[in-house]
Amino acid sequence: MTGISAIRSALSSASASQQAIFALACAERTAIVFNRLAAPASMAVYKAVLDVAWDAVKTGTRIATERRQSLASLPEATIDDSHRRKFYATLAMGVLEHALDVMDTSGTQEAADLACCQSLDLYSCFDAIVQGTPSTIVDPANPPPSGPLELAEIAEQIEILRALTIGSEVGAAFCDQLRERAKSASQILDSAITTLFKGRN
Amino acid sequence: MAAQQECGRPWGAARQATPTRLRGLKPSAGSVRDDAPPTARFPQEGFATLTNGSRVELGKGNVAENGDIVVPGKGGKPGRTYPASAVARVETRDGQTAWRRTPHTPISISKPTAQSPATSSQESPRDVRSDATVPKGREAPRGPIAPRVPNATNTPLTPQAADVPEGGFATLENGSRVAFGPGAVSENGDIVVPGKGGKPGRTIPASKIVRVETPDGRHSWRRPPKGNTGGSPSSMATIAPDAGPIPSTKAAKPSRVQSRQEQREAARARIAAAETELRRLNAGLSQNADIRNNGLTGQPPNSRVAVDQYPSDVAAAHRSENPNGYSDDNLGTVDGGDDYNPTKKAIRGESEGGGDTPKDNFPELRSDPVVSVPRAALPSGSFEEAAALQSRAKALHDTRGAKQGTTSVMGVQNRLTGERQTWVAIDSDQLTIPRRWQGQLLPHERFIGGPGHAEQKILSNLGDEWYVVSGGTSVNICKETCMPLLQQHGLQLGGPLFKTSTSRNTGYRMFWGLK
Repeated sequence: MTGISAIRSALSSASASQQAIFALACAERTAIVFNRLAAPASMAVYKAVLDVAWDAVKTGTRIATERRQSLASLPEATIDDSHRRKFYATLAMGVLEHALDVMDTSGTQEAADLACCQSLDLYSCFDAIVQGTPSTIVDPANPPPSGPLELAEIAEQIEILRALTIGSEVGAAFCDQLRERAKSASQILDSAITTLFKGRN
Repeated sequence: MAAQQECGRPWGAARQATPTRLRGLKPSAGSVRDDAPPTARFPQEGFATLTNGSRVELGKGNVAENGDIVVPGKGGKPGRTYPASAVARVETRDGQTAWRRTPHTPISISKPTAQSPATSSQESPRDVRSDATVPKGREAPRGPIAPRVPNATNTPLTPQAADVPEGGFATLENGSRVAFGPGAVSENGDIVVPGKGGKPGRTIPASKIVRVETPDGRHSWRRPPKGNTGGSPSSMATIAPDAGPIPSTKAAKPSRVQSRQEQREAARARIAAAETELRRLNAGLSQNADIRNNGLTGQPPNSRVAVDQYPSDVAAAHRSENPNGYSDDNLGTVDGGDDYNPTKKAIRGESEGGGDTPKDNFPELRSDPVVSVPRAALPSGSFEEAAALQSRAKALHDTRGAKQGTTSVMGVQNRLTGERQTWVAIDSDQLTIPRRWQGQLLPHERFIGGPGHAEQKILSNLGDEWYVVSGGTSVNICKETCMPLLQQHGLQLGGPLFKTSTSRNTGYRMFWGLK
């Protein structure tokens, strides 16, 4: 079973709260992109929403609509030009949006899958940036292998799901541990973002 | 997150929202355009003929903004003002340009607007065209296929750079079409096309140009009929039957209404055919419920009016380009040759040789370095195919779950083998196929990975072998990067106008090759 298949399989049998934690961990691992590329004022809002989301997961409460609106009002929410480096902050924001969807909607598995895939795509994106590979034609029947950053993210997602499913109880302390783990795992994107800084503004 | 995806808008809504051609534009001296009578923009010296038959010599700037003629006094004598209502005709000293009160102009239908000085209580030579209420169904045509037809009485004699600030297309006397970029139109109306790949550029004299239009077809210049170029009084007073963009209700003829009805019916049939192809195209996509339900426009089923209101001018123009007409079986048949239905065949995964008659009338548009490569066939693209590909782009984009960004899908053909493929790209740098698409792309589809805008990276991978037939994008095409690139590849933007949230984007999401 490939990495993504294993993740999807595990997600399908996970509870709604486990799916929410998984998706939030994905958002946490991509938050570094936002923090490095977005405007400082936006970073504060982003962190506040992420904090609220983690608190909501711990306490089983809902996230206030205003929080989501504050995220939507950020300038990074509407950047669609990939020639701008802030575009990648927008992509990272999408992962958090899907994570919030997991907590807000009944279709949690679909939203969790979107968070998973968007996170993998973002890591794959930085693989390409680091490698500096020019654009190429990819035959879906013979796709290129995943890069090291994407592989690391796959491994991390599997590990989070394993921890969630074997853990006896998902408490506040456990959530904090997972969040810290996600933060440190995201540090591998640091050099990739620095590479991005060189080429775009 | 605020939705950056720009929502679709039916043609009818677009026309009502931006009736640029209908509004009275704020007059400014210096040019004579068909959206304002020349009296208010008459910077030259000339003559005015009053309604009582007397003639008044005009100096520069004597025509006021409201159309009144103000002749300054000489030698300390007071000047004199002739009210616009008393002016019957204005002409330049050399007779090249003139305005003449249209005898049958229905003054009474004028409706006051804030932007129209012609709506003052004083009757003005600034005629009422720009303020007229447009009867439903007789709105000015929009879109790239049917550019406006300027009024023969005040059309500039040469193309104007201001009309095409972003470049566009010029149609020459010999029928060929030339794409040009921003600033290519010189002061004298000549179009200077820079050379590519070290080759010298060329200048197309204004005298050879019969028509100029912007890429979106909304602004165009058409050479006035020869009878008008000399400025003869009789020709200046002549208004071509189809020249008025806002014909009055009285002018409506049953035959034209009937013709429009037929065109609308044809457009409906073509849309239905495109939707059929779209369903087939999406057959392999597991999560395409949205597109199946929403159809071409991205609107809910009960908003089918958007499709029904598809402009008949598009259908008419296509019919003229494809005299064989469109049907499910002969879609885009070229010269009665092999059946060319790229979408339908590509869906079936068929790869076939050309067989079409190579008939490339526009070498300047097919500017790829392919001199040594024989072309199996270069059929033009089609609106139907572009519509299906745009819908595919939107469906794939929605599947990806991306809140932002672009997904572009283009039908491409190999010049050597005639093989057709569909190339898909997103505007992220990733080289791997998006995770949500894995196992979802069809056998003939290829993913283009790497840096750049989605359209940009597809075009950069064409090389010598491939060219784009048609394509579409999930969001509006950007003006700065992608629109010029598409035009360089002989593709014209068209189709429905979508609402745009930024001036950096066009209103278009579809494009197809010219023939």
